[in-house]
Amino acid sequence: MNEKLYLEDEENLGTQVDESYDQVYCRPSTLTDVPFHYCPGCGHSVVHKVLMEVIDELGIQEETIGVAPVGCSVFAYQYMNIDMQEAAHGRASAVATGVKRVLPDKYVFSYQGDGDLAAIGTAETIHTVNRGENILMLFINNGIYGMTGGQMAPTSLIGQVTSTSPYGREAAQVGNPIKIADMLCLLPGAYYVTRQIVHNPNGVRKLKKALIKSFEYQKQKKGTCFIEVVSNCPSGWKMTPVETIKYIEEQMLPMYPVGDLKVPQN
Amino acid sequence: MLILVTLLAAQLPCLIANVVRGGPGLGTIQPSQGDYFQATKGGGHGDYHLIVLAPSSVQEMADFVFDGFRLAEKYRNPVMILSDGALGQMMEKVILPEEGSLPKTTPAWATTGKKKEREHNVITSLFIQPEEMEQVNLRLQEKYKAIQSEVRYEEIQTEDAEILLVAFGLSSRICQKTVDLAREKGIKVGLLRPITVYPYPYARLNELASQVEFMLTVEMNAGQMVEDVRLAVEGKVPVHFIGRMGGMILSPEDILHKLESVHESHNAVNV
Ligand SMILES: Cc1ncc(C[n+]2csc(CCOP(=O)(O)OP(=O)(O)O)c2C)c(N)n1
Ligand code: SF4
Ligand SMILES: [Mg+2]
Repeated sequence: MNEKLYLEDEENLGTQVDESYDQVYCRPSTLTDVPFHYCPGCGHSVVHKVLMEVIDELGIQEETIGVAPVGCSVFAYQYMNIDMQEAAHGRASAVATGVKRVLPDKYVFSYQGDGDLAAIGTAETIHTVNRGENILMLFINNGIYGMTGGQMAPTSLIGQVTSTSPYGREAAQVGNPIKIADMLCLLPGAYYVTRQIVHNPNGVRKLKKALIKSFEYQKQKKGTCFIEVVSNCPSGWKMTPVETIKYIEEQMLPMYPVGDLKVPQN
Repeated sequence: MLILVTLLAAQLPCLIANVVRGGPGLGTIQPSQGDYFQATKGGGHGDYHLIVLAPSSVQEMADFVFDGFRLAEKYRNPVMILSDGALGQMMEKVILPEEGSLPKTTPAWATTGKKKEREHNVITSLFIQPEEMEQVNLRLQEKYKAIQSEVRYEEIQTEDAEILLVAFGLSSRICQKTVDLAREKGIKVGLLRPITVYPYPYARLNELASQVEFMLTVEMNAGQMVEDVRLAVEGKVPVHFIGRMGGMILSPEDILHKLESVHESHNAVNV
């Protein structure tokens, strides 16, 4: 395939891109051929793809070990073509700590949902960051327990209807949504904390940058990098994928604003 | 327990030291053997076994760390040292195993970073298809069969024994004194001490059942290992039990009294 390739907005820009490219877009080679089991429109798929794309581009497939959670992404290891371990519910950052301590020169990341990271695994999360473990913690916040049938998560919004809060979440009964990324910023071990999105191209590009930075900091042994991705769960939220985008923008982002929460101080 | 069976199903070698205190609950901090069932029969979910080593001295506490790691690596299975609150705090002379005597090798299944020449390594305890889970179980059962060859026990004055004490760990140390006290009185008592409580020395106990008049199992619990002794002897001889719970320890004399009273009752029946 050696066609002439053009930028998306060809007419306006009239720019012809480098003809030496055979391809401008493809499936990252670090993803296996196994089709994702995720529901259509689910953010997990996008995060998997972007993460593997970054590992491809950095050329660190052989140097990276991932830890999968319990949750919808429990099978992340079927898709990510790198060495991986599957941790017990909530324990991914503890397992990642073990891997990193044994192999300090490898890149290690944990990948967890909100039920996993911010409920059952709260202690592991806080202490991993407090120790400043040289790992990347990826946190997929979809405000719900996706895998088990849409139960309320610690991150569910006030008023959010879930299978265990059928009349909407009430603070008086179950507390307020927990902003765990903000909390972690207080810990000296947290080197870089950021909140990103994947429901639009700009968000994807920024997540990619955040991932690249995090691996760079890990190489420099700077401490824990924590990336929250405010994501969706069409099935659990009982919405179409398109409706979830509106919900993220109108409901989730006011509570969980996008942007860096803690950046390296020089 | 969740973590333990996760390690086990993922076939990760590891060594767990259980220095047992009186329970249940927060309980006491005094010695107990109340975790025998938990260590040898389960407590976590699924069909599984740990390899369980029961030290009776501080020397063995040290040695079994090395033996434990070796067994764990050999079988890719968690190993437990089942000790108790007294052994855990006792002071005895110890000769430490030589440093570096455990091999430092990286097994092929480890997640050390995917190499081009091989598929990616995955360590998981999740086998969502029942067909696959059954195969994993069949492989585990094969492993437990192979582990039976690791059975270890110690016998004290069993050659001419007419009565057999069976005890592990700290209880077996106390029983040694009872053996001496009984022999001074002319009662021919021996002791079998399982060193591994999983795998268990069923076969040897079955042999000894043809030799002795009865067995007395001594434990610091309500009677847990005694079930294995009864399984082993297949009804050939009576198996009695004496124990204390909640952090209380039997004296050699307590055991001797029990032994004598059982002995007398047996003789009375035989008359
Ligand atoms: C110890 C334990 N408790 C509970 C469960 C059941 N469980 C499976 S996934 C899950 C919650 C997952 O929610 P989240 O982490 O938000 O992931 P998502 O599916 O939303 O990506 C729970 C409670 C379990 N597998 N193990
Ligand atoms: S249940 Fe929700 S989180 Fe899970 S795959 Fe479906 S959309 Fe994604
Ligand atoms: Mg979730």
